[in-house]
Amino acid sequence: MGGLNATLNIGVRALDAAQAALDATSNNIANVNTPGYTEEVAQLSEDPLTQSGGEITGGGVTMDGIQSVQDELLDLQIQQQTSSQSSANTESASLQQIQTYFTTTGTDIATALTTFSNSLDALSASPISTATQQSVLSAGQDLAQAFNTTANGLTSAQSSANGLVTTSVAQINELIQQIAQLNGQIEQLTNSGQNDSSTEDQLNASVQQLSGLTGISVTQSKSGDTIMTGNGTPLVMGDQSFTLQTTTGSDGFQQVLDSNGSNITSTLNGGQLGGAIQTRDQTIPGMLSQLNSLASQFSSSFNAAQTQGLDSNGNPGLNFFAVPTGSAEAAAGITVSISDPSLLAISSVGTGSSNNNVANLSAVLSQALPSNSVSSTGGNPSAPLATSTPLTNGSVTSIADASTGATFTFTAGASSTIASLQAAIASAVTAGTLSNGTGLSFNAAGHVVISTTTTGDTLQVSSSDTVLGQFNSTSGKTPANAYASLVFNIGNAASNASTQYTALGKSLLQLTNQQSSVSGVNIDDETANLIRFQTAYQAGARIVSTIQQLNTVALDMGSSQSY
Amino acid sequence: MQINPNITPNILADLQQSQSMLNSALQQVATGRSVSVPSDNPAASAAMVQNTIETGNVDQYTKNISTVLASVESASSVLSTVVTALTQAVSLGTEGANGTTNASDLKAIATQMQGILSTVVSQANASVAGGYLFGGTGTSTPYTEDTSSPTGYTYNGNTDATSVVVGDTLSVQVNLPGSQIFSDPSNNVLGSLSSLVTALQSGDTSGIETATSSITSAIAFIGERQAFYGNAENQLNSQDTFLQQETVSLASQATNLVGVDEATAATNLSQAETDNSAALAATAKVLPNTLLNYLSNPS
Repeated sequence: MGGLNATLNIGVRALDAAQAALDATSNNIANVNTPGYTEEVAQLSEDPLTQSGGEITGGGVTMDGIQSVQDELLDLQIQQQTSSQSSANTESASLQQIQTYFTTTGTDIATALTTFSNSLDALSASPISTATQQSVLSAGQDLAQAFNTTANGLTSAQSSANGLVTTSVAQINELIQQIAQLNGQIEQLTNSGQNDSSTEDQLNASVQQLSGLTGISVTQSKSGDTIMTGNGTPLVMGDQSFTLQTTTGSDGFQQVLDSNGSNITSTLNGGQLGGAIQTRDQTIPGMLSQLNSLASQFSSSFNAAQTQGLDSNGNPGLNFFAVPTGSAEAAAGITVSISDPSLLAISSVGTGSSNNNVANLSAVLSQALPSNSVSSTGGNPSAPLATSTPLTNGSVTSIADASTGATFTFTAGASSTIASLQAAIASAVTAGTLSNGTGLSFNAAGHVVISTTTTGDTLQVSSSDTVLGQFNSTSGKTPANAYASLVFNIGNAASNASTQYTALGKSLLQLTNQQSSVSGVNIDDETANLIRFQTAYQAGARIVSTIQQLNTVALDMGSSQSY
Repeated sequence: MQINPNITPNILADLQQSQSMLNSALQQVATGRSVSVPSDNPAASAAMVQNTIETGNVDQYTKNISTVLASVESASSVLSTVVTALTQAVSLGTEGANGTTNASDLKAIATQMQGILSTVVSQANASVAGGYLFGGTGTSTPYTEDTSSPTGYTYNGNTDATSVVVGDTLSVQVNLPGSQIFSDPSNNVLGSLSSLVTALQSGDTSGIETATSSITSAIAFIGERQAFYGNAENQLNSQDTFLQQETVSLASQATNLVGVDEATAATNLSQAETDNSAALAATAKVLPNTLLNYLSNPS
């Protein structure tokens, strides 16, 4: 039915629409600083035309609902970048903590090496002075302590990364339970045909938070988000969450298990958890092993020099440093094993040279360390290595055989093992390119010593061609060089992690900018909208009051009372 | 597309960056170093480890040189004194061998010779800073009188030589044991002097002649030993000069590696200050800017 009532109806709908738009606008303004909030827009559409008595009139406006403005692709990108950035941040924080042990502070290894080297040089000038002997002993103790402190610094950073694994897993579990609940709510609302943008905002905020904890892949659907780790372990499916567990592994560190109890530690990357695992299981162990081989090689070389001389009482020198048998604790456990300065092996065996062994002791600091020895009993390993031991670092190249003029070359590759080197040596001996005793020399223990003049690498093999030593990254370097390369590695890792963090921060800022420009609330826009909808409301109200007046006029028609 | 309405995170990031630039510029000026932790410049930090150790070594080598140079110089001057004494002994011996000298004159010459012998022995027992110059590395007086010995003196020192490290690959032997200078089997200085005294006392002319000639050859022998010390002294001095240059070049290497040019650092600091103030001023201008500022209050 046309007429005034229809128009009044249009007016009321206009008021409703303006009211809803004002609601959305005020909600936007109220949430301008709420994290995860997406701008809401009232969806208006024109009502179907009505036809009355041959006339077609408009049907007014309908409020379809209030919708959030989102870009899901952007959300996913932001989640990924957040994971990577958070991982870099965790790693960078840990490395920043570690690298303070490698700066020149006066108690670091570089300073201790300098003092130790100086004390030996001073000893050569006054070998019989108890004071200079004592200063060698104290400098040695300082050096051992510097090794201990540095190793402890590394392990404490490692255990704080381990602590972070436990807390990250707890946080992840809490979040995935929350996400599963939100998923359930969204599914219910969707099933009942409703659209609740505030629940979705909450869900997005939680997923965003989760992505800072670990790398995830998210699939969005009508019934909420399905979330898996980067490797495909499900975390949330619909309203079900699959909580992670932690258990203490054989190395004493927390291992992460999925809901079925399988160990997924090594497959986790990204986020705070990924960063902590990377730092704990890769970065720090790499540095520790470099430090440990430096400590064990240095101490065994120095002990070898010490035992080759005679002490002030004319007795053969005793070991100067004591290193725990487990090579993994070499740096943490190195100590000075002699306490009496007269036990320093100053003179060498024989006559006519009183302080000649001091030169051998100092030489340990200025000459390349030998290849890593396997046993802890000094230069000569007591037991052969397993033939499957990989030879990854270094190579034996061009050993010239004086008798034949031929050269023997062996380059360790990715799949090289001691067995392959053994085979190469054996076939070279059979072919006559390498003959025992001519191109090779024998040391006191009867081990063949192959040394390459070009690289300074030394490899020990027994006379029966059993390999007893192995290549190590420290071989061919002086203690100072080996330590310097460790400092370089740590500085480089720390600088890479923080550069990565900064770079990811910049790209994340870009993405957040983009997201804001899509879903963010612009106060200016909202203020303008406020005025716009206020005007619309006023105009709607005017329709109503106009119709009311017209109604009054119509009702009063024929009545003489008012006129 | 709408413009990003929320500029606060951008502004905060910019402010943080400008603040951190300011901090690092300030730190560089305050510490005079561009590298404080290894991550500032990993390669330079690694090279600095080497530099620190080398600098420490060079310092210690220099100290070693000054410690031993004193004893080498003393030993050298002691040997000069000995040569003078020996020359005197030769002329006394020649005088004694002259057949015209009478017995009482010979006794007088013998007394003089005895004095020279004591001088040489006391020189052979010379010590510097508590250590005997010619006692090997022993701590007892090198020569003591011993009537049972044919030479009249016993050597109590040892035959050990001291080699002092004064460079990465250089060590210098800085002493000779007394047994290779004063009582060497081929040229026994003290023995020759003693037998000259004995021959003079007994008026044995041929004995005087033999002893005098062996003292003459001992002068040449001591001269060779002097050359040893002269050579050591030269080596130490030239190494000292080299180490001084090394100290300078290590210091300049350290400056190149981790140091910071003051002018550049100061410029960087003032640049960072300007940037920071500009960022703050811009923030203050931009943040309160909304449409609301321009709307009149609803009546």
